[in-house]
Amino acid sequence: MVTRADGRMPNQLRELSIEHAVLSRADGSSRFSQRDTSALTAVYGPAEVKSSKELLDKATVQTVFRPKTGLAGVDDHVCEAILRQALEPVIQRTANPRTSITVIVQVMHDDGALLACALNSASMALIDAGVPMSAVLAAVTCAWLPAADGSSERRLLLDPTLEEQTAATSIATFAFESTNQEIVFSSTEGQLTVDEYFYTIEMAQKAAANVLAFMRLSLERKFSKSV
Amino acid sequence: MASEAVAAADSVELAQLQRDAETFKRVHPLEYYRRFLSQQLRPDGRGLERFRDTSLSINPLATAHASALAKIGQTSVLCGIKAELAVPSLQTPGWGFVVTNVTFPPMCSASSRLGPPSEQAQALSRLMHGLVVGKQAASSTATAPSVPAPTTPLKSQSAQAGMAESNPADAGARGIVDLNELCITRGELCWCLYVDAVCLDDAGNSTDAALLAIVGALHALVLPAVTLDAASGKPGFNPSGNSTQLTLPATPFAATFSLFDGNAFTLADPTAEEEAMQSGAVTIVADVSSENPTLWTVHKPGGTPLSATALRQCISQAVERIKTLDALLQAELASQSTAME
Repeated sequence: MVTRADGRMPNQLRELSIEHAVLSRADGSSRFSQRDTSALTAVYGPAEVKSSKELLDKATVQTVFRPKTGLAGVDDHVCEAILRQALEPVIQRTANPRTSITVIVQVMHDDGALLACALNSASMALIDAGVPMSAVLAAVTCAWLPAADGSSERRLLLDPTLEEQTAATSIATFAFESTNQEIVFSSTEGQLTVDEYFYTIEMAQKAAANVLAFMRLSLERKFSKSV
Repeated sequence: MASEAVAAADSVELAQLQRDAETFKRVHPLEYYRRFLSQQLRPDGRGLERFRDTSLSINPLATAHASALAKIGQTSVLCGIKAELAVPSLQTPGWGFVVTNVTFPPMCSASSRLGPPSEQAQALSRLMHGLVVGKQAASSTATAPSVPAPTTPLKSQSAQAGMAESNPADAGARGIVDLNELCITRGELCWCLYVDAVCLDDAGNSTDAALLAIVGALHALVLPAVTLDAASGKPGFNPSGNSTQLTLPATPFAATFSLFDGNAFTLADPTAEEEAMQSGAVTIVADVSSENPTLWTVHKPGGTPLSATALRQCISQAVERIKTLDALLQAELASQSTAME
């Protein structure tokens, strides 16, 4: 079995860590890390909404995606839009009509699988804020790398580092909701056959279940009281 | 039963009925749609899986190096390509540049305004750019050396340092255009292609139309023979050289589906009205040049959750659609070449 540069197995995620309620002023916050990749999210809301953005029957979800340094560029705006569209279906928006829920993601460090990390962090922060949700999102990135030993088989690596991501020929990111494990978000770069694509989904789904289990454990620890 | 009622009604009642339907649509747009969709039909007369009539015309503009106009129903996207000479960047001396942009000017729909590109335009530009240049180049700097991209300067990423120049044999990471082909003299002279797609009329599903227009224009592109004059070091037109066309080994097309009313219905090729009410969308970009279709991207930017089975169904529908688009492009190119002779 070929292991990876950092000693992981191909289907092994990096160590996860979650810190809850790290910010004092936000209604909810969370820092989610996949070893060196890390994102910090603050959630404000349900709060007052600008009248131009007010929706009569549901809450307006606003997202901000801040890069580690510098001003937000096109890619960051695209991430912003993805975060909003991925979070909207799991937030029970009709529970708080005519309000705004603002999700602000600050990239702390990018060592690959950044979007997945941002999505995980945002879904944890929403729970911390007590925003009514119908499911929790768990996101995973997968990368297909050319075979190392000259064989024609490509390798599928879960949760790639930046180095692996750069070497990859195809990258896919998925977000699953927790109730039926159905696909909320899918984005791929580079070519895949149909079979490879569905194999990637299958592997990502299993990995997402692990991410979810870790989220649950972390929340249980947070809410349990020592006697 | 409804049709009997209509047949029985005189013209005054018919007008009344039409007005009522119009009112009903305004007051309960979703319910209005549900009534149609439950009969496996859409208000514009299409079945749920049916795409609108699609047409492509190659080189409608005389002033661009290449152009194409794609129409899907009322939706029209015009793509023009301008080729300029540039100096390759130091990191990628063997590559030319491609700057892809999709714009939604105020005339295309009521929701697009003058000013900086909208979120939709940025997302679509990014998607198209990724498809045109491929994964490796998309994650590196993509702007031309001296001239900044007109509206959306694509941000360079930190992945640059480890970036290797593409080897086209490296299947899986290629784009529509092989950037190696745009290089004239390594490290000294290359082409910079400005691929600008303008949405003239946004009647829904501008993604499919934009990619069709871009692909059409790239196929029509003929680059004049240019050589670097050794004595002066200046590029010059070489009248004895052959003008070149890009190889374009694989051509992807897009097929978009709209998830409607939760995910109760999957509508192919949504109109603007359907897009405004949809609960999610999936865009599938694939090429069918080989026996097994290759997926270039499956883009589902959120919205209602979808099972893998439902996604598989969308993909098989998309492949059928893409086959017709491929045939359309081939037919258009063939008629173009006979017209030239």
